[in-house]
Amino acid sequence: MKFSQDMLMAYADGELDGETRRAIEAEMAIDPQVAQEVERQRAMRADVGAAFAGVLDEQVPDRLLRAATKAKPAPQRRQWSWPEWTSIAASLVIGVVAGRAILQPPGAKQDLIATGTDGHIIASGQLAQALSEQLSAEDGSGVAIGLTFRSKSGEYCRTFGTRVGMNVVGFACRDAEAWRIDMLSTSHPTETGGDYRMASTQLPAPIVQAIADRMQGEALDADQEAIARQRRWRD
Amino acid sequence: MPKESAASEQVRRQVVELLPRLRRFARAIARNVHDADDLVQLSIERALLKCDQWRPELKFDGWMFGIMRNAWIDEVRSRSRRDRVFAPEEAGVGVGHDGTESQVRLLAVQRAVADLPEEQRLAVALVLVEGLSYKEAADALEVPIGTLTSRLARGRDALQAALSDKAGERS
Repeated sequence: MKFSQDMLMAYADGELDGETRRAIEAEMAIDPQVAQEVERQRAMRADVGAAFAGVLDEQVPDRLLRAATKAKPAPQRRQWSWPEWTSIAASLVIGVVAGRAILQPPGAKQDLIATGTDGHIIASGQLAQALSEQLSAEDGSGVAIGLTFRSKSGEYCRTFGTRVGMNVVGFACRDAEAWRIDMLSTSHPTETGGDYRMASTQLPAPIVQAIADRMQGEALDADQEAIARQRRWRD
Repeated sequence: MPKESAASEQVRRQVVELLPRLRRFARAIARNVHDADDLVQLSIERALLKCDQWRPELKFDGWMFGIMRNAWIDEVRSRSRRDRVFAPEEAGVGVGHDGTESQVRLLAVQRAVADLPEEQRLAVALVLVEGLSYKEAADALEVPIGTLTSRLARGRDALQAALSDKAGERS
């Protein structure tokens, strides 16, 4: 073989350009052994890449998001498990709420969302109350609160999870009048009844991404959260 | 809230965006998901502490992978869970309950990577899993490029040998 194995590996990894690359390509055309070696190297690269590709679709654990946003973990948080919430949820994200029905639980006294005067979708009922009153460490009645952070425009935003027929997770930002729901994602309803509270701590990738785009500075820790509540989510 | 430095803000944002890839790299280095996430967490903490050392002209992923490599070598590795045999759910890379042939293959590749000597594993993870160039990978590992390519070539040979053994066992 005219070229060393290392050279062919470098070629397969896209490291070579210009003359050497053309020389190898010419050699591949006439020497099947060279072509085969390059193919072997490429196949290995593809196999190893594929073996770990699935990690990208996994949900990022809350503790890592907290480490990156420097929020202290809420005290006395329970260990929740929600195996039904799989990465499939990420594909079900509805950036803007497509159908109100998902947030109107049968028999609920009041809708959890409403349409605001400016056409935005806003929290109402229990959800609005939890966003305004509930700290992330507290167990609410049907709504769990996760991270609280400031958006670049200065609004307070909070992630939440709730269960209304199916698990719903999202985040809402406080504008002058209401909690505006900026992002919402659902998971399949499950027969065993997944725990909606998990939703506030295990966020699907698109929501994590949206938060990363919007967040200013660090997420609030428990003390800052309590102070913000006291100030009614205004400065 | 205290005003954050621009550097720290930038690093923080990029870390959040890079989280899925940091986890993937960690999974290729550590041998189970718990150690891998411990490694990511420690590396994030270290990156935020030394965020003033990051410069926009540096590629952020390479910078982070370098921090992760150091965190692995001087901290996480020594306290990692030692058992080498991990359950499929611990391997946890999209392996479902029904072991189709391609899933069996993925698992075999993961295990073969886990069995590589550490230097080779790092080279393989940076180039074949994370797609860094040889130069970027060599920088992240703080070794000359020739050292990187020789580790990578040996790693590939070892993988090839391990995987063709497995194929032999099956038939």
